[in-house]
Amino acid sequence: MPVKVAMPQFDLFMAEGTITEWLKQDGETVEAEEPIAIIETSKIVVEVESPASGTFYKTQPVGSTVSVGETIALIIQQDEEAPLIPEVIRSPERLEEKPSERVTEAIDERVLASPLAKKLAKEHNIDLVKITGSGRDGVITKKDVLSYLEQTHVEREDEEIIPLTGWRKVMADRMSYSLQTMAQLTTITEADFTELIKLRKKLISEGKDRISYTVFIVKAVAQALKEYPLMNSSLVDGKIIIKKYRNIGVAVAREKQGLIVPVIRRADEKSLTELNQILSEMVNNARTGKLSIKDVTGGTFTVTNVGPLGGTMSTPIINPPESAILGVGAITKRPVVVDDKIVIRSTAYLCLSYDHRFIDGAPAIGFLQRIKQLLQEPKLLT
Amino acid sequence: MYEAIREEMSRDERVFVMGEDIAWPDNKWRGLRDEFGENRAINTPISESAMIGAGVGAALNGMRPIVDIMFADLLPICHDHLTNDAAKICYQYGGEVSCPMVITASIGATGRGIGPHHSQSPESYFLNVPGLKVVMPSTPYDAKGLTKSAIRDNNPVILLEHKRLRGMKGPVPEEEYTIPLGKADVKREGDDVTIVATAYMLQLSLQAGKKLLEEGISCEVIDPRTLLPLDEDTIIDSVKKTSRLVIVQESPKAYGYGAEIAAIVAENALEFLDAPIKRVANPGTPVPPTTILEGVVMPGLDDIVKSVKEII
Amino acid sequence: MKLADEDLIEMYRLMLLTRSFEDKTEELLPTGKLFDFLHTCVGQEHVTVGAVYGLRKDDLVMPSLRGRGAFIAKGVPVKTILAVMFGKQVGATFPKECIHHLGVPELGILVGTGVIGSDVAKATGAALAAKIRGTKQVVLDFFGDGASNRGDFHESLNLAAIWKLPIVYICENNQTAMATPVSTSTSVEDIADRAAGYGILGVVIRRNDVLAVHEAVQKAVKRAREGEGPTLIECKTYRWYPHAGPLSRETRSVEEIEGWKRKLGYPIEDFKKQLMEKAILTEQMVEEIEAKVEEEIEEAVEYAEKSPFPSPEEALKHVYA
Repeated sequence: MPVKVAMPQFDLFMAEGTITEWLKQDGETVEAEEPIAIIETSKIVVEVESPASGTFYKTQPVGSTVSVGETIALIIQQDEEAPLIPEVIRSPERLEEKPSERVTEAIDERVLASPLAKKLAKEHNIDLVKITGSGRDGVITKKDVLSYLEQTHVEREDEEIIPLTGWRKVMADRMSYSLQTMAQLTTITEADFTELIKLRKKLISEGKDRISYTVFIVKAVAQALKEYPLMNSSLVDGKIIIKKYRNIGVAVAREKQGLIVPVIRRADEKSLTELNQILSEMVNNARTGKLSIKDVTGGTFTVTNVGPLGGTMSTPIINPPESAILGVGAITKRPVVVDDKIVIRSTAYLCLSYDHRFIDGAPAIGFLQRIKQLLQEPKLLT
Repeated sequence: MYEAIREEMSRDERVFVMGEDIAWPDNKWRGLRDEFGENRAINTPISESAMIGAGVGAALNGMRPIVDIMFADLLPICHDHLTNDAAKICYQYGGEVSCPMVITASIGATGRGIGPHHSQSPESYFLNVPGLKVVMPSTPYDAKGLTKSAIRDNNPVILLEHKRLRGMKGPVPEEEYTIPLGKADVKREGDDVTIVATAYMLQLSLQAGKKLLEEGISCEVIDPRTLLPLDEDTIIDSVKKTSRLVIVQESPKAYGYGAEIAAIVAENALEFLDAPIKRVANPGTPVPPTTILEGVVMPGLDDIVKSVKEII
Repeated sequence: MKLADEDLIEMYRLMLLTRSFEDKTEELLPTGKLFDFLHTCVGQEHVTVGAVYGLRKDDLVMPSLRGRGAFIAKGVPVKTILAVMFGKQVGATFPKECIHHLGVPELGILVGTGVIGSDVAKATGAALAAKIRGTKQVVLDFFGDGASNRGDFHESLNLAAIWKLPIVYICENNQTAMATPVSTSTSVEDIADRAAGYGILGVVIRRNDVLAVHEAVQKAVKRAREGEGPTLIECKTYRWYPHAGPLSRETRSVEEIEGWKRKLGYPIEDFKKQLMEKAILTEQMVEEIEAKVEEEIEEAVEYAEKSPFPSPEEALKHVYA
């Protein structure tokens, strides 16, 4: 009996994974625990190992998104024969068969559509079989064709089509969910980083580590959260859950795989140096696909520093189930009024989005002002 | 209509009227006899067939007769003279001579249930006869303008006057005007459905248009005014815009003008239709007496509204 | 109208021309060049010729189905008649009607209908128009025994009577309507009796006598023109050939036909004899007339052959004025 390799479940909430790469070819010998595939979920990219030794055959093509538990490959034991099609995909050409064509052959019935619907469909090169009719007896009407057009896209030569799958889909769902469920607004303040810049330079000149500005920001946020615990909560099932641990996620942009938010656990208990070390390791892992599930779950607040990218101000979208997020813009020299005189200072905009369903302006702005204060007077950081 | 006839009789001494009881004091045309004399407003015995036949003959000898047949239900008596004589004169003469005759008749159910022989809308009998023209006004303005054009037309024109519109008031200009035959009128503009109707049914359709707008349905109501020859283009253009068509007729559904309009639209604008074509009509019975029964078979406002909603 | 010798000779010629024309069409029928039925008036020529002769140019005539003589006597050239029967176009336009019912407006011949009996109403209407316009025209309306049973006949006589219309109704009672003998279809023996039912004058002419017809019609025309109203003149006569001409089916027996011929007289022969007895016609004159008639007929045939067919588009024209 061939050993079935199923789509593994990496965390409780994972429903499906995408096979981004097969590391073995059909017919290749494989050892137990040898990596055979790279699977991607919304949060991470993981290598999957073979459960047994034998001959490898995949049963799902590369790029397919498969539900947890479904078979993705077979490991044929010695002396067994290779299983017959259709379980095993032998040639890539089969991947190009369009399901809709098979469906059209199978169905002998005519598609009922109003004359206007037929005309519209023909103009836009749509196969009527793909449209569901809402008219009497299931007749496809103009409304149905237009609705289909809005939802689908007819391919054009001068357009590149990227399916919204895998992490992209998840991100789309999460962003949309976040904005639809929470009453988000962003409050912005300008923080003077001049002193922090001086302190950092001093530390570096003393031979100490180069601590990134993000780390200082995380430190300031973690500290301020202790004083403003409401900002570190979640609204779940009609209840406000205020967390007493502060796990701060830092948004990291990856070149090809979009945004990922590794989480620094108990950030308030860590020193600047510790934070710096953890963060740079995490960023590295993020970019090389080595983050684990543990690394990307459990956050209570997120920081997104768009300064390095060049952003000035933003209205960041809260990372559910959290209730607030801080976006920081680029540190720039700006004319500022000090003692009624205009001076040049290095400032950056701090943009706090929060869930106004249960967080008022007072605590939010208070929280933000405290962060500002801590960054402007870094000696206050503990 | 009376005004139009009077003005045309003053304008052209060849025009004369002929009908039963027109000398009667209460008759709609009594005034004509007083004004123009008994030679040009002729009271006839009950001789519908010979009246129309004589009308044709008079038209052949230089006159322009207007023959009134009290109820259109009686038109079948004159069918021979209408379809075999009047309609074919011009053709028979190769265009040298024609038959400039107007036949007026009252049509339609009154709402008071006066019975099967005084309530019909028999325009269908004549719509299939080349050589005839059939006109059905729905407003006082249209009635006067169309009557004038009918009298001035050199072809036989059957001018059908709906009994329920007789007392209708509406704006009519003081100055001289005519309305061309063969031209429809868009009486209400809309985007969601085209309703085609005539005479009293047109008035009901306009009411339906108002009511449907309250529910967000915008109706375009077209009055063909002349059924033969029919202004096909106006109807086709409208259906191309709205994608839906409902035709309302008082006559029995089968083989009425609704069937012809539906066929024309199917021939010329099939790809523009987004729903089946509907006809609102008498289901296929004579018109029963008594108000209640008449109301059952005569298309009403609710029937038109319901029919439109079925295809939206 | 007082008849001079020339008139009598002309009436003879017209009858002879009509007869020869009818015979010619019988001869031509098997060639397939005629597109219509032949409703020949052989044996009845005296009625149409006698009645129409002497009318004013603007008087109107409504011929019956069997009214070739009316056309000829009213002035339509035989070559035109034959060309129309050949289906050819003779004028600028192409009237789309067969010869029996053709309307000739310039000669005052009203267009007819194939529906027997309906023309009475039309003719009555034309008379009504004459009255309204005060033109003093008179309308002669020809029809057969069959038509006198139609509703329109009765309605029309009533109208003409109450309005005193300038019309003369001429019933050619040739004893048979298609194949139906008048005795089985008509409630009165003398159709002229029906005149009394409408309060108008009825006249019966019981022999195939062209002069009798002419006199009776002229009297009626005068009455009509003077506003005294209509007259119904019944001419007892007989159709020598079957309904659709000599080559169609005959339902009557030879005895019956010959019997009637003897009873009523021979319209052309008897008249010729009369005129010859009075030395108004001589042998030589007769020969000349016959030769001229024959020439006219031959000319007609040639004309008909040479005339063009109408273009196919004509079928679609003139539905509306």
